[in-house]
Amino acid sequence: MRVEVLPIVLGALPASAWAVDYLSASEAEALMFPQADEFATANLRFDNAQLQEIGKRAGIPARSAQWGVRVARHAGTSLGYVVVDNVVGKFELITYAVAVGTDGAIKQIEILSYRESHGGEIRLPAWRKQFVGKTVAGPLRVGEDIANISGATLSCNHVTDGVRRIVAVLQVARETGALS
Amino acid sequence: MSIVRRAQPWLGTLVSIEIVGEGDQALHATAFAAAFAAIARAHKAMSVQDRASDIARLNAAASGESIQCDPWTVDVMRIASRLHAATGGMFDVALGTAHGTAYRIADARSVVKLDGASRVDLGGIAKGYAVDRAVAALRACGVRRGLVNAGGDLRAFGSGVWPIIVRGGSGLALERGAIATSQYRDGRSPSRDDALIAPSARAVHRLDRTVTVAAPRCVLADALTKVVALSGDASHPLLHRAGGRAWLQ
Repeated sequence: MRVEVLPIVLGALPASAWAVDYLSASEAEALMFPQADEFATANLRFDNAQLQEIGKRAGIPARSAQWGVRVARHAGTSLGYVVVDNVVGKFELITYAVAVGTDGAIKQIEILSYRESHGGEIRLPAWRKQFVGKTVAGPLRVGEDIANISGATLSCNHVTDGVRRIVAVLQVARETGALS
Repeated sequence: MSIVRRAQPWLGTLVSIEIVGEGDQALHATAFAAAFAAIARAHKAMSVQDRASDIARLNAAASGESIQCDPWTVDVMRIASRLHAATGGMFDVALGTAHGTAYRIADARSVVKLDGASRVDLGGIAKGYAVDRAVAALRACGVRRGLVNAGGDLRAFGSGVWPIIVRGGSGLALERGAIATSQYRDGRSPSRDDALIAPSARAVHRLDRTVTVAAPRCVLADALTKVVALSGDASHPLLHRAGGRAWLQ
């Protein structure tokens, strides 16, 4: 087996945006609860004491007093919940969906979209001269034709924190009877 | 031709999988599930942070203790041992913590810790291995063309070209095979996964370079970025043996 690599000419590179979309929120919930025949929206509102409890359990601040939760149901019975959330990192904005069962256990996490503010650090330096061989013609558009960066050092720590917060939100909501 | 993309957080980063297909949704769903299951298995077996992982248990073990491991962990540790030997100790998953040999592979399912004080971190190689396993899972499901990208360590298979951006560098077209990039700036590595510690110096190498390696298998592309970064040699003999190439920035 050989590895085949050629340089390419990049055209129309955006200066500051890198974005890849994976799933819509409705695609994600259908994927994570395929047996559901209904999804209902529950708008949760927490008071200060509840927010403190969420923060204590998650180990990070609750951030918001209002949370929208999609409740997956089959024949009227709750199967679990889907929460869509955004996390902002140093360089990136990640939208993700978490599916949690009625037992409080995380079922699945799907990234819906990934946006990066520093994606434009793409230059055409002398480095390219190290390539030998012909060039594949551009122009190519980032996010459409190109969805992969090698050397992307993004971390998923913010997603991990966000998931922990959502699990605590759902726990407190169930304990207080706001969610069934 | 259409591309279906999916991404989940694993291995401390974002793992994305792309399938090029004719729209067979059932096949895509099965293939995504199988590939992410492979990634999850590698994560659970080899994560340093997860206290139940093989590596965390090995690190907590005493000298002489035998640790039951996922065969994938043993596989990665065997590859790491070979690279350690082939580079005269430069590629070191014990990150310089071992006096002598950190561990010995007993069989396909167990590893014996030799130096009780040593700490192993497979961060510099396990991501690539997980990518290879996910690619194998996709192919086993009948996917003919696709790509798996674990935080920039990626591998493509099937016919056709994938445009890839190397951060801070340029674009390149990948057709079959893997690419991994490691960046080192001002002596600080971007993540602890990529920490480079010279066994002799017992100190983090002060480097300011970006290394990209292309190789047929992602486990070798991933591991060899460290070898090229440490040696500063973009024509390191191991590259040739692995069927790979390297670029330094």
